[in-house]
Amino acid sequence: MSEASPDIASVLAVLETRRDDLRIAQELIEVLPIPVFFKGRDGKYQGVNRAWEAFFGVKRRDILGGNVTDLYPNEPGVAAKHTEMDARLWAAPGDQSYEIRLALADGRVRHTIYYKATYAGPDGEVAGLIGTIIDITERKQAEQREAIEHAVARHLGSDESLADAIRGIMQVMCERLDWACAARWSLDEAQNRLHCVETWSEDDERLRAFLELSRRETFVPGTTGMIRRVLTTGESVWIADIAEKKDFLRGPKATAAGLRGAFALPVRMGEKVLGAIEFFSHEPRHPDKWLLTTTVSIGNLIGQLMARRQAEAAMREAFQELEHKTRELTRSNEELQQFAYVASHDLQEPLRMISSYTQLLGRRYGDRLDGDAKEFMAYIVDGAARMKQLIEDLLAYSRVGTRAKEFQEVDSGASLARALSNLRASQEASGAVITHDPMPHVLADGAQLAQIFQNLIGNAIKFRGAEPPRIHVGAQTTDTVCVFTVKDNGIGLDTQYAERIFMMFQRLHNKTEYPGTGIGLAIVKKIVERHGGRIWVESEPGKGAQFGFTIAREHATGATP
Amino acid sequence: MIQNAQESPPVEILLVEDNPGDHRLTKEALHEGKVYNNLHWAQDGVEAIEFLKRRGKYKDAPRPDIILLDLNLPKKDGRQVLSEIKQDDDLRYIPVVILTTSKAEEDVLKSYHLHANCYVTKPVDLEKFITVVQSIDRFWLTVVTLPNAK
Repeated sequence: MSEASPDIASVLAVLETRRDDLRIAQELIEVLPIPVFFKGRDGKYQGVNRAWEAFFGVKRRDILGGNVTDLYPNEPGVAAKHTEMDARLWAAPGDQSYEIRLALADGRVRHTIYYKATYAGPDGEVAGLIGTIIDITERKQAEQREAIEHAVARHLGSDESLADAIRGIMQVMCERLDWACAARWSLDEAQNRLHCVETWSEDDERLRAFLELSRRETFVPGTTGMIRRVLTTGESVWIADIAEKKDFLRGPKATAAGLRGAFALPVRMGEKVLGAIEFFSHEPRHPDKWLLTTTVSIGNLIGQLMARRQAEAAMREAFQELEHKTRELTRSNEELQQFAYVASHDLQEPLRMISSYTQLLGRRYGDRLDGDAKEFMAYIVDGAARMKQLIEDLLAYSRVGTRAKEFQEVDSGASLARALSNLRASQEASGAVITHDPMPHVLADGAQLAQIFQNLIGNAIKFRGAEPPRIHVGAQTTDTVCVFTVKDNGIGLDTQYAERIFMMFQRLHNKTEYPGTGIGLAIVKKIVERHGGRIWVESEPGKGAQFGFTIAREHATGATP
Repeated sequence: MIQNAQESPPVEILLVEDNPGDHRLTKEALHEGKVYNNLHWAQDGVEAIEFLKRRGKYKDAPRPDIILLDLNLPKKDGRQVLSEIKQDDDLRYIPVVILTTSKAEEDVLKSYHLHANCYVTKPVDLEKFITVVQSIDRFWLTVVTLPNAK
């Protein structure tokens, strides 16, 4: 940087010998666009240029004759640093440069590099110093912003815990922005209370003690105090000097820990304020507009992180819940299968006894029983037989889910052929004519698809009208799905019962007219739904019926085996 | 095909069944049949094995020509009895007919790959039961050529 600094001292030395040109030199200095100042050996300001006045917002008449502490009434640290650097220069005349952060009287914070050089008086002794100030604020702030954003991104992107990530971010912000310690406060919505959750501090016992005290505090959001105000307003709050801020509850404790400046920013998710992060400095500190704006986005980022972590936690919880439910379901399915087996065996054995021995009674003692006795016995036997059928049907229904195979590409024509072969006897007996469209390949459990055709065509034969049954199996495909239909010329049905016919053991007809337990369509519906399809019926009494159902042709989300 | 029952030696049948009602029905059904037979009854798996191995009170028991085996038995389960029979070099040649209560049960059992010779569902209907028992009778004892007992 040295070539960028005009060697003003040497220029002056030359001009000193050319008094005529002194006025020119003074003019030159006055119009230089960078702040320039002269100080005497006593440290008092002897001259400043126009750029200096503009930089500090201070008129020369107000500073000439004053010293550096007059320039920084609120920043004793800054004044002390300058005084110390001046002392070094007096001790070892020559030039020096150093970087320093300034808070100006109007609150602006500037990052600067000071270049200072001594100059000699006519007697050859050091008479004073001349200094220039280079404002590097923008570069510095860009660096800080980049460093902080990089750190925030790194912590947010890591898989460390939320607490560790926030502690890491607080550390970077403290180190980069000269804050001594930081703490995050979180709003417990259920209790409407603020708790201090994470803290970071320099390695200093007093700071740790102060933060420990904070951890024990809880606040209700309100209009006084720093954290409470952040929560209430959703805006950052800056306290230039804690010692002068009477409504800051932890003020005495903070000042006792050597803390003077404070700043808190909201942690937000959209409009919602989730909490706040506070920072403390050793020195009183004027509000820094740049910092206030820059950190808004950091508060929002942290809020988003918290929201994301919460969502992840909720998702994990939901997933665990789901796993739990799945285990439950598996267990209950196993129980159901166990139950089905028990039912198939234990419920039927007594039935067989009832029925067999009633029949044996009839066989052995038939000649000694009258007509009533024989009729009653017939009802017993019939009841037992129906009960047995109901049990078998229930088992068949329950097995749609438990004994199912995985879906694969199957030829629906083969399933239809299998169904027709099972129905051959009733087809021949009824003289039914059964036709079908070209049958496509679909994604299904082939055996269950055959079961659907068998039940629907079986029904079409069973509920035939006066004419011999004419049954047509239709198949219309789209890219993703096949719509199958089974159309007949039978007795049809009133579609106000359309919902009921698909329910277990629901029948529209008397048992003596049309025998059966009413399980067939319930099984069909269960199979179709297991395949992710739907089923419906179109009909009018006396005009035949058409059942339709869909089966997927390719794997789709949602249809699980 | 049916031989004159009175001239043949009696067919020795072992029924392994815990339900007295089924024992009686089997007896009635066989009684109505044409095959001259001796029906032996073991009420649980342990008793069945004792009978087959001629232990204890069964030391003079005949070797059965056919075993009718119910699977849900007290003490020793029918599956275990079947497995012991099939692992025994002598007994494994005796045909075993598994009696099941329902079609569903039969399906389940088949999936266990038990090496039974035949599964029969006990019908609710007495006529059918008689037919079934008698057809077992005929099928196993007269149609199928079984390995001769040693």
